[in-house]
Amino acid sequence: MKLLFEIYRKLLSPFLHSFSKFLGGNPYYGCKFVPTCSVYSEQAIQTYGIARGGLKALSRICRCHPFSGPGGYDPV
Amino acid sequence: MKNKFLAVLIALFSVSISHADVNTLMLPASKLSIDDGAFWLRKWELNEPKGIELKTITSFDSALLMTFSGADFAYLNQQKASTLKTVSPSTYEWNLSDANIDYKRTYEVQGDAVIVNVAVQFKQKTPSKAYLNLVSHGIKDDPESRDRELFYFTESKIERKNIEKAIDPTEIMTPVKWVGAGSRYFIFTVIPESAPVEKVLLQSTGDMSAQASFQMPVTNNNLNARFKVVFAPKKLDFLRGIDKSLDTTVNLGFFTFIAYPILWALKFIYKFVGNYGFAIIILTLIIKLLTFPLVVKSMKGMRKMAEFQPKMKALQDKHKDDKAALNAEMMQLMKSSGYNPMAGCLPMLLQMPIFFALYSVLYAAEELYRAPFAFWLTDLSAKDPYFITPVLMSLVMFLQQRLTPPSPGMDPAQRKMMMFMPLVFGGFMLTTPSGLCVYMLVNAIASVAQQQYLNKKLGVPGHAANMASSF
Repeated sequence: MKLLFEIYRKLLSPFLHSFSKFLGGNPYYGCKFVPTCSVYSEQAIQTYGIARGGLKALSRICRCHPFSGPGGYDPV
Repeated sequence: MKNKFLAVLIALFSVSISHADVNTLMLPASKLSIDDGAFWLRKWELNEPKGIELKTITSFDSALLMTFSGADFAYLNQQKASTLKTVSPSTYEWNLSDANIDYKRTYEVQGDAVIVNVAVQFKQKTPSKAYLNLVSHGIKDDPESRDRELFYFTESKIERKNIEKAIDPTEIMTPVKWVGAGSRYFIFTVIPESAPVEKVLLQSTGDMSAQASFQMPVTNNNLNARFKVVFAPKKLDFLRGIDKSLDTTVNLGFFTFIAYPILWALKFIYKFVGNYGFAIIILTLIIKLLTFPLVVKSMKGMRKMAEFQPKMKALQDKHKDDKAALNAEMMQLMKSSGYNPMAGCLPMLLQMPIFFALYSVLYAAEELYRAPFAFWLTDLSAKDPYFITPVLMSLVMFLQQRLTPPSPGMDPAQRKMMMFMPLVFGGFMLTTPSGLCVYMLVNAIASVAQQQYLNKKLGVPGHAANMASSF
């Protein structure tokens, strides 16, 4: 599990970020929430297990849009 | 004299043609020669672009043949017409009569399509079924292998089968509106107008070749059917003019609904500038201008976030072992200083479909086929022959990476990885259509210019670049 998150952070995330940076001239760098979704997901799965933690992570990712309130600090 | 010599020469060089007696129908956008034998067509050439004929799609001059079940009728494949008649400049009649059969085909030009009327009367033995077969072959080292396909339209949806992969024999029982063969930019389609089609059969007929067949019953020793046959470039308006549903043959991918307006805008701009390369550049700049306010807004948001980062970090160090206290103080910090984070990642994800739609348009739009830009780019649908645009793009992207501050919350390893990305994208662009390379290059240059402008206006975020977060 840890490995998966590592792969995402080291490879996939830079790819996605530079791709979007490149596409949009970098408008949306930075996250709505603290901690980031990947950290949140890892902590959630560590704390609650794959099923419940996974659901919590999914709900967090789904909240990452302009109409979900103020955002900011949102710990597991 | 010279013409006659030429005609003989042409006849000698045409493999499947043994007669010089070519009968031709003129369509508004193409020229169709009709076979005097069992094949329904002989050679079909578009007026524009030059040199494109039916063979371009199917690797086969004729591609359309009617067969009957039972060995008794196999000889028909070798028969020539007993009479051929030009009824009018737009109508042509093919007739075969022998002891077994009266077989008549009438060809009629109707707009940009040809209507074929078939009337078959069996005099002695009768087959139970008749088949109209559409065959398409792949070729060796085919640059279009990915796009060489058979397709059919059923229940308002197009289904595609790549002919180079084995197609398991498939029976399609639902009503099929049309069947066809396609390449990247052209289609050949048969639409039954009034034919007793029972089902459509699809199967491979060998290595890199496949056929689609309409199966029809022969009743009362008779078969009467009417088909519309179309050979056309994959231009949306042109196809819709023939049949509304034919526009689905233009493969714009999953994001077709975004690709349509993009293609429309591209053609609209082309009307003014007369060059698709410049049209792509202008469209890119327009998209850039439209998103500019968003960029400014999120830049400001990011700067604010950068101010927050050290404070959060300090809190984190202070309450290392006390999660509850950390949470409480964090909340307090957010509230007191009016933390106003960005819109979230959804808008960022939204640009991806736009990119994919644009990619599909620049890949699949027939308008870009052989469309020159300038200098060494003579065909925007082909890859850059000297790889100048992909290399330039990598360089500009690298520059962009150096100029833009990294996202707050990104660790050094991630940042290192980001530095490699221009190479990854450059490699990916090597074989993509040069139209897309032009878009990527202009987009990268515009992004750098925008970044420079904003840095000047809002100040360079020096400390943001040095920040690392453990969040």
